[in-house]
Amino acid sequence: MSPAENLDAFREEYREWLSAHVPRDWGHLLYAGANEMIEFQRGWLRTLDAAGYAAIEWPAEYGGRGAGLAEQIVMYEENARSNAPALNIFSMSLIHAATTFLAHGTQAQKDWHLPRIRRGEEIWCQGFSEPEAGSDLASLRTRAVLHGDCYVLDGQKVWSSRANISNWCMVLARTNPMAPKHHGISFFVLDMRSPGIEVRPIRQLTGEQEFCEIFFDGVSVPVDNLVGQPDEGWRVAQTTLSAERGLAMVQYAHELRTQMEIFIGSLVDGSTEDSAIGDALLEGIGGYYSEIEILISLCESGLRQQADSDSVGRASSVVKLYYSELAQRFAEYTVAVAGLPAQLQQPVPNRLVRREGADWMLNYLRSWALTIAGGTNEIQRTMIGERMLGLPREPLPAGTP
Amino acid sequence: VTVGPTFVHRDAHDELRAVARRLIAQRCSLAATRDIAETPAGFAPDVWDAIAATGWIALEIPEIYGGSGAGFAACAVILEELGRLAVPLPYLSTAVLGVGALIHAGSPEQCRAYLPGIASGRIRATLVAGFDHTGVGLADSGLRYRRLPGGDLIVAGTARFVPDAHTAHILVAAAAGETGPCAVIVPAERSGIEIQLEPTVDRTRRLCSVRLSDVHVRADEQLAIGQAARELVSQLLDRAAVAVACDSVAGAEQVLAMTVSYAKTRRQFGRPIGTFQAIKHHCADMAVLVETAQVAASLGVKALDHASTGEGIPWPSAAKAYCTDAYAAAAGTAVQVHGGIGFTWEHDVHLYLKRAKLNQALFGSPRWHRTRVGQFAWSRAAPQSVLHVAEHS
Repeated sequence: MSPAENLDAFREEYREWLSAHVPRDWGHLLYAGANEMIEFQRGWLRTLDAAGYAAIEWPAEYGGRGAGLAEQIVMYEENARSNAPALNIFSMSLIHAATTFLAHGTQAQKDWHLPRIRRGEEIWCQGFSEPEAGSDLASLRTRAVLHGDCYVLDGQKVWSSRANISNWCMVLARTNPMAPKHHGISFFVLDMRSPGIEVRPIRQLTGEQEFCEIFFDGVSVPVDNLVGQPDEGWRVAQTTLSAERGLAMVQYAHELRTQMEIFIGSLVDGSTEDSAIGDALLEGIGGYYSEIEILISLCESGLRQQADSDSVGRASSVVKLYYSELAQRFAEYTVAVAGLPAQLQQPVPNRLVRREGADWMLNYLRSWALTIAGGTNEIQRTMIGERMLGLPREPLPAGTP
Repeated sequence: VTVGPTFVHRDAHDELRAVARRLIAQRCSLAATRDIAETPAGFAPDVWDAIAATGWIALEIPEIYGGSGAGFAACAVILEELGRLAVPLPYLSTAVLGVGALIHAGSPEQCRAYLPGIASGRIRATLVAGFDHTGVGLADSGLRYRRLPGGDLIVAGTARFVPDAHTAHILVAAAAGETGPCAVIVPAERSGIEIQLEPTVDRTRRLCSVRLSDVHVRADEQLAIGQAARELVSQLLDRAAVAVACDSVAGAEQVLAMTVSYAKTRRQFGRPIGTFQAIKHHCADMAVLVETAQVAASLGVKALDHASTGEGIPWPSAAKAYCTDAYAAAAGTAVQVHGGIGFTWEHDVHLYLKRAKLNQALFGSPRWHRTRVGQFAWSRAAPQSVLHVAEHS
């Protein structure tokens, strides 16, 4: 079979499997509690895993299929088509943590974590940002000091999504305060059940509590939990971040396509029999529809070149900037079209639910996380200017390390 | 400074692109363009001959008629390289519209009569159809026909904003009539055809008003009638839309390169202005426009070469709307970053700004094209609902 035929066969196979396995009527979970939602998603992940679909891009030895990007995209498309449950609680595990382990992990780390991630036994969060290290992440102050065969961790992290329900965390900590700031940082994986950890959820402007603060007070981390070389954690973190801007971004882009379908669907349902949709509305829909398709193609072509190019870092800034601002503009548009009804308070649904509960105002409020998180868009613009276009750096104030 | 595409692989035509970029840079400098732009014809015949000699006009013409039988993707390379230097040439009207009409709807006799001449550069062509911003295509062409006993036609009316008609040897004209729309191909010198230049702000292109006073068209000069004519015009407009998208992408790449280069060398407050975030972020925004427009244009090109059965998103429209808007926004930002010097006649950036603005308006406005995509999206979600929107065919 040709590659295209193989892909068609895979699509056929997966579509058939989904039609037999996607849980029916899970809309009631829209307002379910956290535990119920975790169990539901874990159940779905295990169903996928039993059929070999949990992590198709991983090597076969870890339960994957060594599948390429094309197959993963097929899965995103088919998931959306069949209204399959999203796995957002586990995406930090399946994408960010797994990508980091596969690139930099020791054999023991891979053997321990990857099967547990696949089975939904581990929920991961990321401890990168700090109160004084946001855009200037490399100035982070959380310290890890080696004592015998353990590092002792002290400091504070912030903006860690789902840290309150996670059992593992990827942590960046300073191990060499004398080195230049990018070179004294190490990358650890931390069992969140270790003594000395306190997690406090932060109430966001949407009313939700997804981001958390994490406090480390003399937390012991075994040396074996170091990922990559000591003091070279910055490089490891780039892998984690590239997963955020790579595969995860393809998924976000497909979710935006689903939102567009829901939006059009809501207009179709709400329209009168003779469908008095005007040219102005069609124009707006057509513009955003085009841009979402351009975004999807941009993400996919960017990923395709990831393997053979060192331009991923610079190109991913373009994707992040375009995605987040398109999502925000589209959200603004839907709120404007929806009018006053969109201004009414609604119960805040779990974000994984995809077709039900279109709340355009909530979507709009959430969009401000997109333009801030993962490196603010201002930082992205500076990176594009300096790394991609070769513009000169801004002179640093005297005395800056 | 060259800003290469990060996301779009163009390897299929790398060699053609390299040759085209070199030859066009040699023959079509912006300084030369400024002189040519002030002549009535608006293009240099010797450059046209040079382009014809390379075979670039004939890329899509089948080999039996003296061409190379390539796909639109090859043509797109030339369109981009011409757009990069805002070259004034009737390439789009002849190689995209004229050739397109003949390879899609021409009879063997019509193809034999015209395609070898077009391939050699001896014959130039254009499309006379409706290009108003309110609507494009047959319904608005401004031309009507009536049929004489025996099958010949009489065509009358005025079509405005016709590209390059003043230098065309043959006209493909779309007219409405009692027996449905009709497309014909006639020599521009046919009695009753009057062509006047319309003074465009963008001096690198020429638009004309074409008046037909009871022009006699022979039955064998008919290209298509009824549904076939509708499809032909729609196909030609898709080609024109993608062609303009290609021109726009390269133009946007060029204004970005000009602007980045200026930001690196122009100094104020004792340092290059590119060190300032305000300038750097303007450039980054332009880069995002360029990268996304490259993706959109390449999808437009792909859609023409692998014409699906009308099930997918109308990429030619999506690409036309997105790329021309991106070009105009990038060119505007380029003027801003250049500051005072960018507002002068001497600086080249205004050549691009004006070309970008014409590209937006040409062959259907971005609004019109977005609406077309919106109709597609809507009809996909609500196949039964009737849309109360203007007929565009």
